[in-house]
Amino acid sequence: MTHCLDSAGLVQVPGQATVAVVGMPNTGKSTLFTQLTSAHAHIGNWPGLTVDLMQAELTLEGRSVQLVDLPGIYDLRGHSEDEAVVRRFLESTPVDLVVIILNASQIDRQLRLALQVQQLGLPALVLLNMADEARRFGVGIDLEALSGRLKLPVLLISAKYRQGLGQARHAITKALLAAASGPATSVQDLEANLAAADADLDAAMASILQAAVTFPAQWRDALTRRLDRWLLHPLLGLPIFFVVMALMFQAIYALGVPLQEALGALIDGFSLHVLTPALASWPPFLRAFVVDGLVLGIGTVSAFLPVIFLFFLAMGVVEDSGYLSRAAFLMDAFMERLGLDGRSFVLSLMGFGCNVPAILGTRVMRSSGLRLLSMLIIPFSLCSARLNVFLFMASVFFTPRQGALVIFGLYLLSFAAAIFTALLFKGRFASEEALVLELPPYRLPTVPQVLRRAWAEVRHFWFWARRFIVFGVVSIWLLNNLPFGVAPASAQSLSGQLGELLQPLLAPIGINPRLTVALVFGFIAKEIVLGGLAVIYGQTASSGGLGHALASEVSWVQAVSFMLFTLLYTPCLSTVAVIRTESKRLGFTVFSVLWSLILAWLVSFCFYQAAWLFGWR
Amino acid sequence: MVSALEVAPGLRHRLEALGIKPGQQVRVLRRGWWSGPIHLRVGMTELMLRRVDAAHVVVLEGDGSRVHP
Ligand SMILES: Nc1nc2c(ncn2[C@@H]2O[C@H](COP(=O)(O)OP(=O)(O)OP(=O)(O)O)[C@@H](O)[C@H]2O)c(=O)[nH]1
Ligand SMILES: [Mg+2]
Repeated sequence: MTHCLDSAGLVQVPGQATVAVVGMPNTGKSTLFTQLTSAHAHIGNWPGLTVDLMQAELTLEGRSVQLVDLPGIYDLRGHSEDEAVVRRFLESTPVDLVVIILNASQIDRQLRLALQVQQLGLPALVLLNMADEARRFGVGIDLEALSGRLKLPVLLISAKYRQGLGQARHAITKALLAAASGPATSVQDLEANLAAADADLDAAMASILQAAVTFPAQWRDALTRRLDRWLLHPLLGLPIFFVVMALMFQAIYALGVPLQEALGALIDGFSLHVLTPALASWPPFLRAFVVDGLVLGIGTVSAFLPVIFLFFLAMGVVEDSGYLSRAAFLMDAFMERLGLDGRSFVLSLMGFGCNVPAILGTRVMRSSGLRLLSMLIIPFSLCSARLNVFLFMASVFFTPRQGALVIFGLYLLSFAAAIFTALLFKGRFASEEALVLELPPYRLPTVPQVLRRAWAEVRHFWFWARRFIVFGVVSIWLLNNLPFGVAPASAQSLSGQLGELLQPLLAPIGINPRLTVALVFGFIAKEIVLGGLAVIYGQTASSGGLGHALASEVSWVQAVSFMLFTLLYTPCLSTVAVIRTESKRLGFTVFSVLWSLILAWLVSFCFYQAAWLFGWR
Repeated sequence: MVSALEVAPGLRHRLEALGIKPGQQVRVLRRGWWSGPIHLRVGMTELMLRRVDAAHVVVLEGDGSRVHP
C-alpha cells in the first residue's frame, strides 16, 4: 500500500524502522524505491521529478520497515520548495537509516552530499547507482577504499537493471541492526551543523576521490554527443523537436482512434442487444437511468482507455529518454522573453498528460514570481481528460481527416493561450531566477518501466473517471427529473432552469442550455462532460447513441465553440485545489480561475460571432 | 578554469553541487540560438546555464585572460 503524503508528515508505524532515500535529483531514487517495494513512484530522466514524500512498506528478511522516497536535493542547505521538503523531513522525523543514493558516474560532484549527511551524524549507507553507466563511461571506483574513507558501507548497484538489489537489501538489514542500539533521531541545527563543516568539505572530497576513484581521460558518451549534435543543433534543433512531437501525436491518433471506435461500437452493441432486453422488465425510468445514464456515460469514456494508454506510453518514452531537458535547453531563449524559463516549458509539456503533477513540479523553482506565472499557464495544457471530449466531438462532427486537423488546432491554441497569458502578465510576476539545469545522458527506456507507467495512468484515469461519472450522471439525472412531474430535461426541470439562467451569458457563444449543464459539471472534472452529455441527450434520444442526438441538435460551429471553451476554462477542481495549496494564495487562485473563464469566453465569442458573420451555421 | 563565483549564496550552493567551483575546468559545448543558454561540461556532468548567470562565473583562459559568455 502506498501513501502519498503532503510534506507535513509521515505515517510512522510503531515498531517499524523508517528508512529514508536521500540523493541528488535524477540519481534513481524513485527507481530503487519502486524496485524494492511494490509501490509505484513516478520515474523519469528529468531532475526534479519527485517533489513530495512517498512511503511504502519494505520487507527485509522477515522484518518490515517503512521506506520513504524523497525529492532530490542538490545541497542540504538548498532553498527551493522541493529541497525544503527534504530538510523539513530530516529535521522533524526520526529516521533509523538514511540510504544515500549517488550516481556512480558523477561521483566527482555527488560525493559532497554523502559527506554532508555524514556530517549530520545520521546512520547511513551509500548506494552507488547506475553502475552500468559508470562502467560505460570509464569511471573506476575502489569500493573498499571509498568505504574505508567514508566509514560507511558502500555498494555498487544498478537499480534500473535490477543489479545488486539483493546485496543492497542485505546491507540495509545489517545497517539497521547496527543502528538499532541508539534510538532513531531527527536532525537538530541542520544549518549550523553544515555551515561549520563547509570549509573543509572540498578538501575532504578531493582527497577521497584521489584515493578511491579513477576518471577517464576523455568523455566517452559517444551516443549522447552524437545525438546532441543534431537534437541541440542551433537551427535544426527546434524544428526536429516539433516534428518529433507532431509525429508522436499522429501515431497516437492513427492507432488510437480506430481502437476507440471499435471499442465504442462494441460497448454500444452490448448495451443495445444485451442490456436493454435484459432490463426490459424494469420500470422505464430506472431502465433509462441505468442504460442511458450510467452505461452510456461509462461506456463512452471507457472507449478512450486505449488512447490514454498509448498517450502515456509515448509520454513515458519521452520522459525517460532525457529529451525533456533538451527541450528545456531549446526553448529557454523563447521562454525567457515570456518571463518564464525552459523548465516552465517542460512542465507545460507534462501538463498535456495531467495538469496536477505539472503544477506540483513547479516546486523546483525558487522565485515565487516564476512559480506563479508557470502555474498560471500550465492549466492551458490540453490534458488527457480534455482530449477525450475533443476526440469524441471531432468524430461526431467531422470526417477523420478534418477531425485530426481540429484536434491539432486545439493543441496549437493551447500553446497560444499559454504564450498570450504569459506575455500579458509577465510584468506582474517578475523573476530573476537563475537557470542551471543538468542535461543527463540519453537513456533507453526499458519496456517494463514504460508499460508499468502507462498502465498506472490508465488505472488512475479509470478509477477517477468512474467515480466522477457516477457522481455526475446521478446529479445530472436528478437535475433533469426534478422537480417531480416535469418532462425530463425540459425547460421546467432544474437543469433546464440552470441552462436558461446562464443563457444571456452563453447564448452569444453558441452554447445551448443543455451544453451549459455539461460545462457546469465539467468544472468539477472533464471526465464528467461526456458522461453528462450522455445523460442529457440520452434521455431524449430514442436510439443511435449520443453522437446522433448531439449532431441533430448542435451545429458544427457550436460544437467547435464548445470545444474552445472546454479547452480554455478551468480544467478541474483538483487543479484549482493544487494551485491553492501550492501558491498558498487565495487571491491568486481566484484570479487564475477567473482569467481562464474570461479567456475561454472571449475566444469562443470571437470564433462564434466570426463564424456567424461568414454565414457558417 | 573557473576562478571565482560572484553570485548569491543560494545560487553558489547550486553551482557547487553541480560541480562548478573555483579550480574546476569547464568546457563550453555549444551556445543556444537567440542568445539562449550555454551547454557546459564540468567533470562528468553536462549542464546548461543562462548567459546572464554565466556572466557571474569568472572563467580564465589558459593564458589568464577572462572568458566572456
Ligand atoms: N542507466 C541507468 N539508468 C538508471 C538507473 N536507475 C535509474 N535510472 C534512470 O535514471 C532516471 C532517473 O530516475 P528516477 O528514479 O526518476 O530518479 P530520482 O532520483 O527519483 O529523481 P528525482 O525524483 O528527480 O529526484 C530515469 O530515467 C531512470 O530510468 C540505473 O541503474 N542505470
Ligand atoms: Mg524521484
